[in-house]
Parts: sequence; structure tokens; C-alpha cells
Amino acid sequence: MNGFHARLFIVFILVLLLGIRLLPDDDEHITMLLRDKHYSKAFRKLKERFAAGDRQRFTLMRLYELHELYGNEEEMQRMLAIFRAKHPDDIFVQEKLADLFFRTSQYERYLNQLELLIKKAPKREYAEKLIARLELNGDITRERKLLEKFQSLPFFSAEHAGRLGLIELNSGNNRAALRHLKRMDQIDQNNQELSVPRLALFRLLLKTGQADEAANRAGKWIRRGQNVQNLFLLMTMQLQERGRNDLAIRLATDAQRQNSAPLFYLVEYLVRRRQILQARILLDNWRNGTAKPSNRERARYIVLQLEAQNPLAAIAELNATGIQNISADDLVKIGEELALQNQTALLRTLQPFFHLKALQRRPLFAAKLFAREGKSKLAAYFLKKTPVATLRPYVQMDWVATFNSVHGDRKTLITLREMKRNGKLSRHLLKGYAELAGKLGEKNDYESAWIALGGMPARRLR
Amino acid sequence: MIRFRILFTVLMGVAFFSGFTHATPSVRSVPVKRKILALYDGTRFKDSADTFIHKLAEMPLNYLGLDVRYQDINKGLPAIDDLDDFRGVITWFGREVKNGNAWLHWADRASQAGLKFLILGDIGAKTDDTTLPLVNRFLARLGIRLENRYVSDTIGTRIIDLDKKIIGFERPLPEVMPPYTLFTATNSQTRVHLSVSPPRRTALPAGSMSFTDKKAVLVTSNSGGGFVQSSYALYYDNRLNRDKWLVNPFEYFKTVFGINQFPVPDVTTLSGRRMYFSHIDGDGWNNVSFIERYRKTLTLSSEVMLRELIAPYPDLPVTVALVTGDFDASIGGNPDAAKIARKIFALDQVEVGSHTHTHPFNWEFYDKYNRHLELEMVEKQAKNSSARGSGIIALLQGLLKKPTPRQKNIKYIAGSGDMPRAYMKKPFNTEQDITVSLKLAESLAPKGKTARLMQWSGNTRPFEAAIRAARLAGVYNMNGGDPRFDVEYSSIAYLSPLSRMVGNERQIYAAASNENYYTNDWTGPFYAFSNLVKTLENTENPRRLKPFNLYYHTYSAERQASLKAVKSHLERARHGRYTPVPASEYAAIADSFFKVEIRQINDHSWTIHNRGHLQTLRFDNAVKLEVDWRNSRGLIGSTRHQNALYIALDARRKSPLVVLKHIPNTRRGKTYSVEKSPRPVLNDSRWKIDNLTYDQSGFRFRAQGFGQGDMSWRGLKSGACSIIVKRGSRLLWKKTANIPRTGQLNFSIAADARTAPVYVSINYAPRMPGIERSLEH
Repeated sequence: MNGFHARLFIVFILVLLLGIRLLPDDDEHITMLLRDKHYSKAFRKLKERFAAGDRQRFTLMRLYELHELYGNEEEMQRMLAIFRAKHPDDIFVQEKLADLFFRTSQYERYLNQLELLIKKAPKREYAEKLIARLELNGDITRERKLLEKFQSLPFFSAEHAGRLGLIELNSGNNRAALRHLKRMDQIDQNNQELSVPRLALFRLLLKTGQADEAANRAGKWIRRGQNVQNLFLLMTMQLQERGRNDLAIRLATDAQRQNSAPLFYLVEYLVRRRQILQARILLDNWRNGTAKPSNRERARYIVLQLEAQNPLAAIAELNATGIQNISADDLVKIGEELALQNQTALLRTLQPFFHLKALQRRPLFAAKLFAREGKSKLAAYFLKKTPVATLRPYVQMDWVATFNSVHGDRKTLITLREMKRNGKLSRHLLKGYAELAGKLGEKNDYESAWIALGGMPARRLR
Repeated sequence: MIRFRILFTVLMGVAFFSGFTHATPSVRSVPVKRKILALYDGTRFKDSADTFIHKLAEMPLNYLGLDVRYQDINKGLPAIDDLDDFRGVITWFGREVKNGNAWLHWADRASQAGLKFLILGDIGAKTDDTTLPLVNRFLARLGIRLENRYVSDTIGTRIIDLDKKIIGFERPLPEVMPPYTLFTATNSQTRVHLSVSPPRRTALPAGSMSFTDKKAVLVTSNSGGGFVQSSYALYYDNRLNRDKWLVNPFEYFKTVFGINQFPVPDVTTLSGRRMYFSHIDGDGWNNVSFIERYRKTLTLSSEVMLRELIAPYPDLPVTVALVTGDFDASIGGNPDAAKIARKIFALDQVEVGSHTHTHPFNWEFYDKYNRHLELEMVEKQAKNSSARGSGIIALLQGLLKKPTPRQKNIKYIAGSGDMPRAYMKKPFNTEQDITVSLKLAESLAPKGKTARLMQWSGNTRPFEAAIRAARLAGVYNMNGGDPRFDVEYSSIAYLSPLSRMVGNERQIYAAASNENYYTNDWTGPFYAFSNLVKTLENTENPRRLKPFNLYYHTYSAERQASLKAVKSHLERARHGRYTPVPASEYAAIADSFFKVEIRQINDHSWTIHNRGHLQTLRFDNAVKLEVDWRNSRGLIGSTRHQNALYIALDARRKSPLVVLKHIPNTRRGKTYSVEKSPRPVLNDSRWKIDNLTYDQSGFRFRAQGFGQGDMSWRGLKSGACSIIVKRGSRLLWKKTANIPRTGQLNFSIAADARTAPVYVSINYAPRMPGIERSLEH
């Protein structure tokens, strides 16, 4: 062989070797088959490799994909399980397995797989899926265990802490609840929205004698809270109940900058508890601090001042507001309060401005008004309109008294008798019924009333 | 004289035998009220199908045998006199309605007239101090009173009463009780299913007593009806957007509406077995299948469907509903594909249906149709589309070969479900899409085989005129509802009711979801339709809530995985204990549910009238009850599933008489798989059975169905017998068998009864005199 032929031969061998080198290996071949959609061929090759003990990622993954293509769920699951055992840190496969369990309604396996996934890759999204499912199905025991486990993980949020706190609270573990709820408040310090866990925290702090801390925290929440006036009122009242009026007033004053309703509710409460002075102070503070109250707020303020036995302030506000700016219903409410306070002269001034429809919505007040003026027909009309059965007991007695003043004893007795027959005579009115019967000498009524009361008559009628 | 005697005898005979088919005229019977009026706020819910009542409450009400009729409260309240045949009223407003006071006044009068009221959530009226007396006047009829205080911070709430039969159905009460309004019970007649003691610090109205010592009621019932506070009927998780019932709607609705035992018209069971039916929407008909062995030959999905899912299953009925536009070249269809339709319709197990002509996706668009707007959408689609054969590529293709009808009309063919319908070349026409489409589908079937079902397309919200057109064309209709009950939708809240009323027309819902809902709108994973099995399991136990419905599209044959999933369900239907029926038959039965009239004679007897195609009645909690076969009329058989007793009626008997009796103590606690009876009674059958007659020599009946005629009878005389199956005079099948002393006989008829019924006679072998045995107990 001459030199040229030798060089040619060497080049040929090199090219041959290069060609062989460039031949696709088995993996590449399978990939090409799959790319060209020759699935059955690829499947055959892969099954052969698997049968020969091949457990490489490539083989397992391609087999899984083909089983998915063919809808072989059991084999899909098997491949992923083998993959997971061989490559436990492969998150993609863990996710796939969770998804498979979910789509084939293997609930317990799905939950277990999610737990495993969180262990491997502590991501919030996995935790949310798991916690949400447990919470939806009411599996509190498991949820609690998991949340406890999650405490040390980076995705553990205020929501998780709050939830754990509430679960502990519901189980009566107050100490643990307090710990978790405080942590919740700490984590969420940049978002001072009032929430159910925060309310729970507030309550627990009060229960454990930490009223100052409770009020301080509540003060922060109030400044950012929206549409939660009733809740602030409740917190205020809880402070009240523990004898911390100072904190309650401070909280209510803080709250009223957002919305007057909590403060007004608190004033009502103070009036009922006969804490008139404090009620007035709050009202004055509010008025002084509120530049442009709405007409509704003014009307409420007027009523509350009357309830707080401060008619001068009420009248001053009414004059400043102008009767024409007070709604028909509010005007009647003011009238009712004036009547209660025996402010007859003022009531008479307002009376011409009462609308009939507004009076119809407060029929008992209207009846009393007209009864006082001797307009018995009108009074009778409104008495009839009053839904007696739905009134509270002391108000029912008020109705009976007014009825009596309009219709007299005899008719009152007949009416009470009828109400008793129809089962509409409340226990509170039975005694009055008995007394009236006794006054009129109606023996049957008298005795039946006492029998209904379950006692012996005060005296026997002959 | 003789003539007189003959006439007299005949007349006496008529009078005597008429007693067997009708309740004795002199016996008073009372109609069982089955209607419930559902009031909803049309300003909040445009369609009654969007209301909470329809989505959540109607299914359990249907299960209890009740027919829910909707009324938009803003369109006026019905005259109370017109509600004589209504049992009660249900509301689930969610908020105040416009004329709240008018509603309360009406409710008060209606309650006084005897209607029971179920108020779920918001009362629907303003509840301030001025309206409170009116509110409480009505609520007093429900045995409750509104104290009009709201407990928003519920921490510290203590549960006082908890009726475990009613509360905690799918989930226990939430760990933090939802906020609630203070209601109290007004008297001891009020049954309190859930009550709590509010936390001590509840805000108090002026001058009132403390509520700390009073019970706040959350779920109640009494003779006037019932009340469930907002957030206490269902638990809702906003992360998963899923509901779960807190209240047991089956038990609670039964209590509230005062439902005592009556035979419930059942639409899940036929001849003692769970019904099976299958229907296919024709979407994807012209798509080439991706399945490897078919892809190479460019086989259409419809052909694959025929070869793999229909032809190999002659024992399973299936309704195939074509999108007839798929064959209409003038709008872009492929006329060649009609050949496949002909082959499919030629098969005896296949029923003809239509899936409309142009496949509306958005039916509301066509209710108030605007062609101009539709064309604008077409133009916009054409502009946005770049990969749909437009431009240079299309031009080149057009030069090389003749464009297909689809290519010619591509501009007018929807590229996605965002368009209002699939084929938009011609203006929409209800007649074309319903009536003509049915005729077109029928034209591809053998002569004499008519179209039987209209299957709604797209969002399955057809308008009234469309449903009417189907009815006037003489077919039933189906689709929509899409129920599921599995891990992803883990509540009966996701099971749809039987139907949807649209004006005066009724749309029957499918009894299962199709593969679309399992595969993320057909984007994968394509195996996921196999998960239907979970819904089937959950709707079978502990209550049979739905029949087995296999519902899919032609495009399931595009993918190997989806094909396999469908096959797995077909195998289940083939080998399971079902009664397969055509889909139109299910639709007919479901439709008949609403027409059935039941008259109660006494505590344990009823007559059934006007039942149409419905042939099964059900009694729940019937462990201690059995059929009184001696006194009942027009019944074929009975069977049990869980605690329910299912009774099969004879379709040939117009007004059956159902009489029950209590099982004697001596027999209680024993298994009832072989219940005794004094005459031949069907346990269950794969075929429909009717026209049952019997005498001392045996019994006879007519049967029709799919697959082998597996059946089980009891109450037979022991000994040898022959089973003869004929059609007319032609003998189809014959067998001898031996009936054991139990009197039960199971056999399987190998004859084709798919398209025409067969007549079956079981004749007892003649006995030697003196060796007569009776199985009567």
C-alpha cells in the first residue's frame, strides 16, 4: 500500500469511528422514537431495559410518560414509586405522584404524599393544599399535628399560627393558644387588620389578667381596621366587664375616629348601667372631635344625650341641626325619648313634624301620644296596630296600661281574656290580668289567671 | 232470562275485577303533595339555575320525591289559593329582597294557610327595630324569634343542643363558629337541632335581659317549617372554593317538610338494578386520532370510537348525538364522515341523537341573537388568527390542491370555545339547529330508526324555545348538571338535581360529568376520566343518588389514555349488576318524575297515577317494611339496597296499588336477600320486565333489554320448570331448570332483546297428584 492509500485508509477509519461515535445511543434513540411518535417501539425498548434491571431516571421517567399516554394508572404509580425510592430528592416526581393520587381519588395517599413533599421541599403551596384539604374535611387532629410540625419551617405564616391558636383554644389549651396567637400577631405586625385570631388573642389576654396588653394591641388593630365597629364595641365592653373603664374609654375614643358607631353603642351601654357621667363625657368628646357629623349621627347623638339625661345638649344639637334635616324615623325616635324623659313641652314642639308612616312604625309610642292628648280614636287605632305578642315583657305592660287608659277596665279585661284564650298572654301580664279581674270581681278570670301563674290567689273572690 | 243472567254476570264480573286495578271508589284517598315553591331574587340570580336552592338544595329534595318550582320574587308572589298542591316554600336569598315587607306579609298568610316554610340563611327582609314586629310575627310560625343582635365575635360560644342526626353530616361544626344572629325558640314545640350559648359579652339592646342565660338557636324545625342560619347549612373553604354540608339535607328537609312515608318516584333504578345508560356528544367527529395504530392511517376519531367503544359492546346501549354541521360542506363540515355515522347508526345498540347543527357554545347569546355582533366576532377571530391556514400558506395550499369545505369556510369556524358557536357561516336558526338537525341525524340511520334525544352543546343552557323545539320534534333532551362526587368534589353539594326549568320547558340534566371535566377541558391528563368510578361509588352508597351514566365525547377516541378510561367503564357496565337502557329512556323516566301523582289511602297504601315511563318506587328506612303482595296490584317485584326498599312496577298497569306491611318480629334481623312472597316476584333483572301474569301453572312476562337477560325471581313453586322465550311464534331460547325449595330462580336468557321485546314463560312441570307444595308462608 503506498502512502496515499495508507492516508486514505486512515482517514476512512477515522471517519468510520466518528460516524460510530455520532450514532445515537440508546437513550437518544428512544428520544427520537418518542419525538417521532413511535410510541410502541419506544415502549418495547424501555420495557426491555426495565426488565433487565435498568432503573435510571431516563428509563423510569419515559416509562411513566408512556404509561400515562396509554392510561395505565397502576403502572404510572409503580414507576413513580420506584423513581421516588431511587431518587427521593426529585421533587418533580413527588409532585407527579401527588397529582396522580389526587386525580384517581386516592385521598389518604394524596395527603401522605403531600406531607412527604413538604418534607423534601418545604414550600408554602404544598402546605396550603394539605392544610386546606384537612380543614375542609374537618380533620382537626391531623391538621394540628401538621401545623405543629410546620412551625419551624420558613413558610409558617401568621395564618398558620392563628389557625393553630384557634385549634388549641377550641380544645381548651389556653396556654398553647396564647403562645400561638401572640406569634401570629408578631408575624403579621405589618398588617394590623382585625381578625378572628386577634379577637381570640384579645379575649385570652383579658382572661389571663393582661388587660393593658390587650388594650394596647387592640388600639393598633383599630387604627387599621375597616367595618369592624361591632367588634371594637365588644372589645370595649370586655374591658368594661373587667372593670377597666379607663381602657374601654380610650379604646372607644380611638375607634370613633374611624366610625362613631362603637362609641354610640358604648354610650348606650353605659346609660343602661347607669354610668351617666361617663356616657356624657364620651358624647361630649365625640361632638368636640367630630367636625362634620352626618345627620344620622346627629340624630343618634340627640337621642343619646336625652338618654344620658342631658336635654340641654340634645336641644342645642337639634336646633343646630334643624328639624328638616332629621329623618322622619329619627324624629319620632327623638320624640319617644323626650316622652320617656317627660320633656312634654319639647315633645309638643316636635309633634307637628311627625310623619304618619313613621308613627305607624312605632305604634305604641303613637298610641301613648294620642292617649295623652285625649284622642282616643287615634290612640285605639295605634294600639290595635301594635304587635303585642312580639313586644318585650315590660313593653307589653306599657301597652296594657295605655290600652286601659283608652278603653277602660272592662274592655281591658275582655282583651286580656281573649289574649289568654289565644295563648298570647305572656306570663308578665298574667298578674296584671289577675289583679284587674280581682278589681272587677270576675271570679273565673281571677282564678284562671292564678292557676296559669301556678300559684294560689292572693285572696279568694266570692 | 238467560240473556239477563249473562248480562248480570258480566256486569258483576266487571265490577269485581275493576277492584283489582283501582282503589275501591268508596275509599277516600288523599293526594301526596310533592311540590315545593322555591322563591328567589331575580336581581341577584338571573337564572333560577344559578340559585343556591338549585345548585345545593334541589338534589336532596328530588331524592325525597319533591318537585321544586321556582318563582322570582320580584315578579310577584303567587296567590295562596293557587298553592293547594304545594307542600311548602323554600328560600335561600342570601340578602334582603326588594319588597321585603310584602314578602313577609305573604309568607305569614301562606304559613297560616298550611304551607311549611324552610328559610335558609337571610330572611330576606330588613330587620331593624321598625320591621322587627312583622319579622317576628312570621317567624313565630316557625317557632323562633329574632332578637336582632349579631354575634360577630363567636369565640367563647358554647354548644348546648346538637342533634347528631341533623348536624355534622359531611363535616363537624367549624372550630370557630361562624358569626350568627340571635334567634331564640318561642316555645317547647320548636325542635332545636343546634343551639349555642353566646359569649357573655354580647351587646345588649336597651332595657333587655341578658342573653347569657338564653339559648341562641341556629338550626330549628317545627310544624310550620324550619330555619337555618347563614353559614350553618354548609361549610365553605375559600382557598379550595369548596362546600361541604354541615346539615344533613336528607334528614332535615324530610323533617321540615313533614315527609312521612310515601313511595318516592325513583329515577336511578329499573327492574331492581341500578340503571346504566351512555350518551356521546359528537364533538371531535372529524378529528384524526392520535392513537398510534390509527394515526398512520389518518383514521378519524369517530371511526376509532366505532371500532373500539361501540361495535365491541353490542350488549350496551349508547346514544350517539351528531353535530350535524360536521357533515354539512356548506358550513365547513366533512360529508365523507357521514359514512361512519351510517355505520354506527346501523348497529342495534345505538340510539340516534342530535348535538345540534352548529354547536352553540353560548346559548344565552342565541336567546337574544344579534347576527351583526356574531359577524363582528368572526372578523375579530380572523384578524387574530395566524396559524389557521391564512396568508401565503393557504394560498399555496389552494394552488396545490382543492381546498376542503373546512378550509373554504375556516373563517366561520370557531377556533375556541370563546366564540358563541362552532359553525357561524349562516345565521343561527333554532329550527335548523334542533328540528332539522334531528332529521339530518335520522337520515343517516336505517329506515324506521328515529332520532330520540337532543343533547345540548356548549354551556348546556338552552333557552326555552330551543327546548320547546326539541319537545315538539317528539324527542327528549339531556345534558348539563355535570355532577361529580370524588376527592376533588367531596360533597353531595356537587351533585346536580334532575332538571332545570326554563320558562315552561324542562331540561333534563345528565347524571354524570363527561371527560371534559376530568381532563381540564381536554388539556390533560387524559387518563383522568377513569376517576368517574369514584363518583359512581359515592352515588351508590349509602344512598343510590344517581344511575350509572357514561357520558363522553367522540374525541375520547383521539387519545389512548382516554380510550382506555372509557373502556374501563364499559367493562364495568358489562359485568356489573345494572339494567342498561338507552339514554332517551332515562330522560323519559326523569321527565316522568315530575308528573307522577301519588294518592295515599292510609298509612301503608297508595295508588300511583300518571307516572309515564317511571317504573320504580322507593321507600327509605324500610328495614321493617315489606310489600304486601296479596293486596298490592300492578307490581312486578322488589329489592333492597342499603335501608331502602325498591319496588318495580308493571309498565302495563296504569294505576298500581302499593300496599306495605310490617315485617313480623320473628323475621326481623334476618337477611332479606331472599324475601318470601306468595307469588312470583322479581328480585332484579338486567332487562326491563313488564306485563307479568301468573297462575298455578307458572308465570309469564314481557322483557326487553341489552346483553344476557340475567334475572332473579322468588316466590316460585319448587321443582322442575321450563323457561321458554319467544317473539311472536318464533322460539328464541329454551331451558329447563330446577327451582329449589327457597323458591328462588336465577337464570340468564341468551337471546337478542335489544330492539324488540321477547315473551318469557316459566312453566312449572306438572306434579303428581298429592305432592303439591306451596311456598306460601
